[in-house]
Amino acid sequence: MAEPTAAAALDKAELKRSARAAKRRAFREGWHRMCRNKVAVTGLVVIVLLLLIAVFAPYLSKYKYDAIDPLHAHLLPCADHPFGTDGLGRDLLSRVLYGTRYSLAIAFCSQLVGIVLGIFLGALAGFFEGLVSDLIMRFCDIFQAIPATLMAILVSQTLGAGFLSTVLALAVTTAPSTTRIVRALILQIRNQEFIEAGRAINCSNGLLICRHILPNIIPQVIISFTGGLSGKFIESAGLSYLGLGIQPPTPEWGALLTDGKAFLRYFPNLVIVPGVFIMVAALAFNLVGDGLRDALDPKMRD
Amino acid sequence: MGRYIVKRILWLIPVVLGVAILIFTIMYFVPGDPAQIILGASATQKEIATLRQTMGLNDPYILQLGRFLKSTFLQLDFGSSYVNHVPVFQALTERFPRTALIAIVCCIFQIVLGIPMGIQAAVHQNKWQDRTLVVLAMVGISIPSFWLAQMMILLFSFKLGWLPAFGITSWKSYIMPCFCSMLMGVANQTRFTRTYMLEQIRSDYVVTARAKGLGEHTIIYKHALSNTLIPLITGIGGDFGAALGGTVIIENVFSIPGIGQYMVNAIGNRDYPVVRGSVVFLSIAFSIIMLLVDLGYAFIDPRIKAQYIAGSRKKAKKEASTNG
Repeated sequence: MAEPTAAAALDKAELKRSARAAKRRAFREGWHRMCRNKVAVTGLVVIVLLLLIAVFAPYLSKYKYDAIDPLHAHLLPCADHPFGTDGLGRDLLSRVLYGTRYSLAIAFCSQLVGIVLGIFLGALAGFFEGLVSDLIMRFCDIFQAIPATLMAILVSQTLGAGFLSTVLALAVTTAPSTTRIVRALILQIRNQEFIEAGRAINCSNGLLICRHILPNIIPQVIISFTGGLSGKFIESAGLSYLGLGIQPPTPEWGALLTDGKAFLRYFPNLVIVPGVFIMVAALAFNLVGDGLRDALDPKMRD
Repeated sequence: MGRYIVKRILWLIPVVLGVAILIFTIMYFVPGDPAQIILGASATQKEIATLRQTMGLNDPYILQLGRFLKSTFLQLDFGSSYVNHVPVFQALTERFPRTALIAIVCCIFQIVLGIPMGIQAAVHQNKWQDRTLVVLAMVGISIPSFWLAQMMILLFSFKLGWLPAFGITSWKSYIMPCFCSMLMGVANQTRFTRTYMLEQIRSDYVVTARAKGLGEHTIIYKHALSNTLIPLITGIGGDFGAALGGTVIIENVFSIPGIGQYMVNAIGNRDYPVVRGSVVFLSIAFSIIMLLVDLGYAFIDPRIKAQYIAGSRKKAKKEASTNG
């Protein structure tokens, strides 16, 4: 870490270079530790596969995801339709493949928005004592007094169905807990010498936060980002299941599952397939999240 | 100690008020005119205008908010359903026992299953017991509960015919809902317990205890466990909230007439007083559980006790010095 107290002795550029090298080394070390963890690598492979599916969905699927074919409605899995077809004759495989796009996008975006919001508020609350900190933390108390699922339902209903409102509804449930974590981390860092030194050479608050404090909490932020991603898959599917969130014509996995639930008894493939995809995605992100935590968390290093 | 309890109970008031204000404010921005919803599509402009006037919908936000808070907290009146005009509070109290039952069963199983499994995993770290439990817990937190619920309905109701798929007919109807909603909680609890327990097992005082020649059993269950329990107990309040939220979805899968089903039906009908009332009600229930957990926690964690005893001592000293 760049400690400006030592800056007097060392050439500034040299110091910067060594700090950057140290940071790169730390990340490389973390990465290597992660790569030794076979389970986490398996999860990573699955995630890469899912990303590839999302990107190349049009080339992988034989049919268009919204191509209606009433003559072939409600087919059980067969050679032409490996996962069968739904009530309108749409090919389930194509829909699930296209659905990867929506499900991944929602999970990533909502987690990103929630974490960024949490970092912003947590940095404010951690750095500025007094009124700002109190206000933000009391808001967190109130937001966290509402069970997360209910909060998501409420926001989703207010903003209406659709991609953006689902992302916001899910982000609102992440932000308060991230704020808490980030604030606690910043409180630990705030009184260290290098921050004091930064103040002494007249660094502005913004510069102190962005250049000197936030880089120190990146590992923990990465851990909470990946750790929460799998939950977002399940939550967004849950919202769709309740008739909120992404609406049925869009082939999001949760929406597909909801579409199929009426036919559970006779055409269980409509429910099983999207569910398995949700589960595999959530599992993969959980594995990688655990692997990253073990690799980056200083407490886990023996 | 008494001071802590009073302080914590008083803190409940602003939180609950804040929750009610937040929920009211969010719902205030829901698109659609309540008067239009009540009267239906065939209503004339004049009828709608009159109803808006009588419902006070033309008043400014702050006045409506004040009226909402007054009726909710002073008269326990959560409004009436737009659809069947049944008072919301009455419907909620009727349905709450079923929702609470599932959530409480979840929390109990989480404690009596999750904690021992987590301890077993930590004690046998990297052996087969640990590996199995870690894999099971990992799968447990990755299965969407509503999907598992449907798979169970498919197997136990449709294929085997052992358990009822919908509604509440006997105690058997609770088996699948409880199992589905507790799976994630139990899995999470196992993971947390394992992590905390490993932290304790690696700490210095355990080494000291071993050096003293204490039995492994005493070390784990007497010394390490009591330190592990502290963070776990703090989590129980939050787990209850998660269980309540999970119940909302599970009730809809199994058509259990609890608050979750009531609320989700209301969302479909745009029956806003019901949605608002349900969320306020469940959030208050959640806050009260959090309060109880915090109070129980204060009795267990010597640090909180010490803080307040030390505080009162300091105060007494101060008073003594000013008097003297």
